[in-house]
Amino acid sequence: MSDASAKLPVLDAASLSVTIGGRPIVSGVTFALERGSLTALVGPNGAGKTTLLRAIVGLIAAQGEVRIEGRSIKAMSGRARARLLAYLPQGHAFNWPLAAAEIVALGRHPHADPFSRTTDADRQAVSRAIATTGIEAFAARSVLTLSGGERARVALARAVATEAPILLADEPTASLDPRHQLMVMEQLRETARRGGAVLAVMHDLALAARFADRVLVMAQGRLVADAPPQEALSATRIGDVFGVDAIMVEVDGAQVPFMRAPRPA
Amino acid sequence: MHPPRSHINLGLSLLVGALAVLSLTVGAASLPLAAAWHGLIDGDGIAGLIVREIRLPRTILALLIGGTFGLAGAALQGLLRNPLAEPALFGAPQAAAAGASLMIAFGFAGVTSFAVPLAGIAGALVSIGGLLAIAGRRTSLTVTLLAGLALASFAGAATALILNLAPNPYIALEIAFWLLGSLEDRSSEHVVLILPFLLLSWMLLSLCAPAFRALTLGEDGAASLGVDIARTRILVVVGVALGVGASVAVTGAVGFVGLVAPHLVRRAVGSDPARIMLPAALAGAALLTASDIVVRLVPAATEIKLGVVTALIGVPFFLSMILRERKFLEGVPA
Repeated sequence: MSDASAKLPVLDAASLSVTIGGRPIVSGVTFALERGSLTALVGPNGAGKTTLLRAIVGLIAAQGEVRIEGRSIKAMSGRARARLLAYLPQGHAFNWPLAAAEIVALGRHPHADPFSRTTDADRQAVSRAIATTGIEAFAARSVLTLSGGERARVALARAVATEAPILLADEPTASLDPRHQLMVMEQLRETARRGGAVLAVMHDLALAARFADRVLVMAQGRLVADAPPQEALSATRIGDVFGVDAIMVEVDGAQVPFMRAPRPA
Repeated sequence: MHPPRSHINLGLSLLVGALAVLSLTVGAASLPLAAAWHGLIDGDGIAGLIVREIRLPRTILALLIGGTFGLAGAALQGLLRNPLAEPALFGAPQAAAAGASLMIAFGFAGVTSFAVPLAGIAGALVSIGGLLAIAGRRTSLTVTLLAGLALASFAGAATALILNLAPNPYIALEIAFWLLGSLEDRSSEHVVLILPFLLLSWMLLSLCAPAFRALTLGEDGAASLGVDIARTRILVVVGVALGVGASVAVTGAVGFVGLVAPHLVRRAVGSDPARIMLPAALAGAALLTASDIVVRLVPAATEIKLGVVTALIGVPFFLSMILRERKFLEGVPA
């Protein structure tokens, strides 16, 4: 990569707005993802986090601009965009009972030639994704026989298999047990460190504070904070945005919020 | 997990070939296999006439149309991500039959004119296009099936109106019989008439195979992988309409092959909606050819109609699938 592109943010969004049925869901959101960083996107239910992610991926119409390394996403074909930007939707629903490894291989779709032949590069990327997410043990099983947590990890492996520099993940730790939550967060940080960027919607503010390099806080469609975790997730802001009294606890040198009680409405 | 796909396709091809040979030897005039074979090769005498002019077109049509229905069913199931999708449940053959009977009843076109398949295709296009427009992007099964029921009923009413207003009662009776679905007395002209439409249909639907596989992740997941959902929907609507519309213009209403064929091969090839397409087409060809053989073997004063047989097999099959998928259909997570 050239020096110029190394200085550009991996992804940046400028004045992104989404209106659904006349109601503004996302209003004028501007931010940038730096190379090598894991960014957490937090906010109360209905703040517009998922809509923001869907707008970045191009799944819903939005005003404003999204650029990958300075290039507008609108000028790219769907497959070119998909090779640069992997998206892990919420929920991990699989419509057909394919084997987990076959689901992971779907991540290679943007790389497929017109005859959709599987190349060695595809096979290696799928094996790497299966190994790094630790799903070897059930890779051959039908996804419909897997537990919720196992499915979540298969879905993550699918997004990782694309080997896109940017990963947008919507609640990647939902429905996971504590051990796997930590493993997935480590996995996301590693993915970012490889030279891309990861943006993850999260509800667990403690995990966000511990793992994210930067935290975006959304409320009512607007970005109300874009800062390192200790600044973005202060007890005051958590009180204001989430309506929860939090106390700060030090874990491994990081200030991590612990939710004590809801504030009276 | 599953036997190699090439073995399954080879096995199905052999089955289709065997049924095709059998189909050439079955009929009102009993011809031994050897006589039928000589008739096919040199076309001499009565045997040649029977095999080449009567049984060969009938067999080819059964293979082509059965294959088309199997492929169309697999494609609709892939697009809607549901094993219960089938053109007949969405009113496609009914609407195609309405279009075709309009042409015939009012004498706009002879039965072997291109106007008949074109009208059939137009009818199927309206019903499948209308269905996907009503069901919208978030394809809920309930909405899709209810919309399909409404469209099928409307197409049935339209056909009834055409029969009702037909200027000539004999033509009305003829159409009513034709609507039951049959391959009796079809000629090579019919093959030539619909083959271009069927080839185009197969091509369009095959193009969508990778998109069907990506749709396993849902519409958002597939779109994020670069699948153009709108384009896929249009290709499927046009592909199914071309195949089903043209087929129905020749056979009359023959339903449920598109539901049964993919289901029969799913156990052997797995649920991958792309990998199932060729085996589903082969199974469809085998099913329709076998049904058309059964129709000729049943001793009856009047030949039992092909569409009656496929519906008699298909509807109980559909009910058994509903029973098996009841939990899923009631919205209870499996």
